[in-house]
Amino acid sequence: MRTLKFEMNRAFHGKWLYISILLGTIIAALDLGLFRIVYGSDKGKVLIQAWLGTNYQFVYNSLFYVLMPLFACLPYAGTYFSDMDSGYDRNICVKTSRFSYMTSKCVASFASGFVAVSIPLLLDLYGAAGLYPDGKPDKLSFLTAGIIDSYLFPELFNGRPWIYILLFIFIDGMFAGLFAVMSVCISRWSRNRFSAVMFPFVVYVLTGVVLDGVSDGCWSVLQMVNPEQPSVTYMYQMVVVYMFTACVSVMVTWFYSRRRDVL
Amino acid sequence: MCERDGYVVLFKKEGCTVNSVTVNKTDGIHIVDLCKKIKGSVILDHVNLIMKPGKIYGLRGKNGSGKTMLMRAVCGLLIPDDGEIIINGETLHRDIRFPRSIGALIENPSFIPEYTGYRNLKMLASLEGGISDSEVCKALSRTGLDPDDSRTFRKYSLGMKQKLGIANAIMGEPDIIVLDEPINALDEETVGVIKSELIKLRDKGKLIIIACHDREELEYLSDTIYEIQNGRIV
Repeated sequence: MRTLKFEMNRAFHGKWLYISILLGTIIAALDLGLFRIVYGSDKGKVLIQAWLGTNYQFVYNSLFYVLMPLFACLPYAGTYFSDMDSGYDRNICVKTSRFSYMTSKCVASFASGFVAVSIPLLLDLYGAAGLYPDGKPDKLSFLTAGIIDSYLFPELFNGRPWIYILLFIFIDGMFAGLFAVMSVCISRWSRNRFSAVMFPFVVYVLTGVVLDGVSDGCWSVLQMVNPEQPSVTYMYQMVVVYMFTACVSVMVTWFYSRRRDVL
Repeated sequence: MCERDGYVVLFKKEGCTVNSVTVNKTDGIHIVDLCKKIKGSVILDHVNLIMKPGKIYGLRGKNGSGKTMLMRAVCGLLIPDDGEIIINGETLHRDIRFPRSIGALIENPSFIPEYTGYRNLKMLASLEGGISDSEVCKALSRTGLDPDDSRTFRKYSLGMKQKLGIANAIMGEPDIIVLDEPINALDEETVGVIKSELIKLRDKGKLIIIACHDREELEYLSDTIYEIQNGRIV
């Protein structure tokens, strides 16, 4: 528990977490600001049309969701590489086991990734809720993502938009945490911190592009995490992709936290 | 019983005799036939050592002779290919994953660049538990650093970084203190301070291992000096 506390303390007191949250919040603020400029206080507009996740008419939705792995990995995931590179891991591994260190590093990275992505979305929700009323979106409006029955959670989208939004913020946070853990796992083979942080982003974008062509994007995480739901994704696909990535990451972490030299 | 380089090893039983010294395996460090290869090259070659509490042990040898690797092995950072390291009666990597009470400065001191010296030590103290804020301040003061210094580690001079590394190693007065080239980059005055602190710690019953290139300093500080060549104690 001490090692976990130590890693969490480092993760939540680092400047990169705040920079990451700030960048995400700037994108969210630009989106909401532009929506306000274009539509003013139009009484027909509702919260779910103004929120970053489901407001797809501006570039900011795509920008946020494409950059999501970077926001997740920037705060803390790269520290495993820098700990090894600088020799700081020696300070830790004389006081705790390597397994405990690696596990705590992954948990702290997951938590920081979760927070870095969910805070800007929550702040945007707070801002949008202050400007626009909660209400059922007009299915025929071009402003509405149009989550029909074949998409995920259509009844929530049309009936309880708040829950739909909060559910997707949670899903996005979970995926963001996973990206951060992936970055920690790949650090072992990275030549620098940059490549460790960039790895999940590159995989995310490449698989997004490839799977978009192969399977209409339904297996693509890039499409899955977007509450606008650019393509039809089933729950089982989301669970399979998440569990597969999580299992691979956990196995790699376990493998490298076994008896290994700290050089 | 086996014999290597005239060094008799008889560790398997409690109270055995090595070079006419009766060994009580519950005290200090007992390194038994330790071997380690990294990428095919022999780093430690059948190392046998006994180190008792209340003494300073010096390690001397050329660059690449295996001093640092031996220190890493004692700290639990290196997994032996063969042999064992017994610390206060517990075998490293079998009974314990890392030594219960150890402070180490191995190679270059490395800390979080954005934190002050005090904050860095406080963070590391939290890993161990049982080290109060006053003990953190005391460790800094003992090495000549100001606990209230607001400069971050990034802005420290080479000597200050080294002092912080030593402060980290002696913080909380662990039973075993491992210092690899501790007086590198330190001015004469600080070397004197560090030497007297190490002697005080030895007198309190701490086991101290030092690797140093400076023969005079090593001879002054150490109760026993081991020479290492090509991973072997000679």
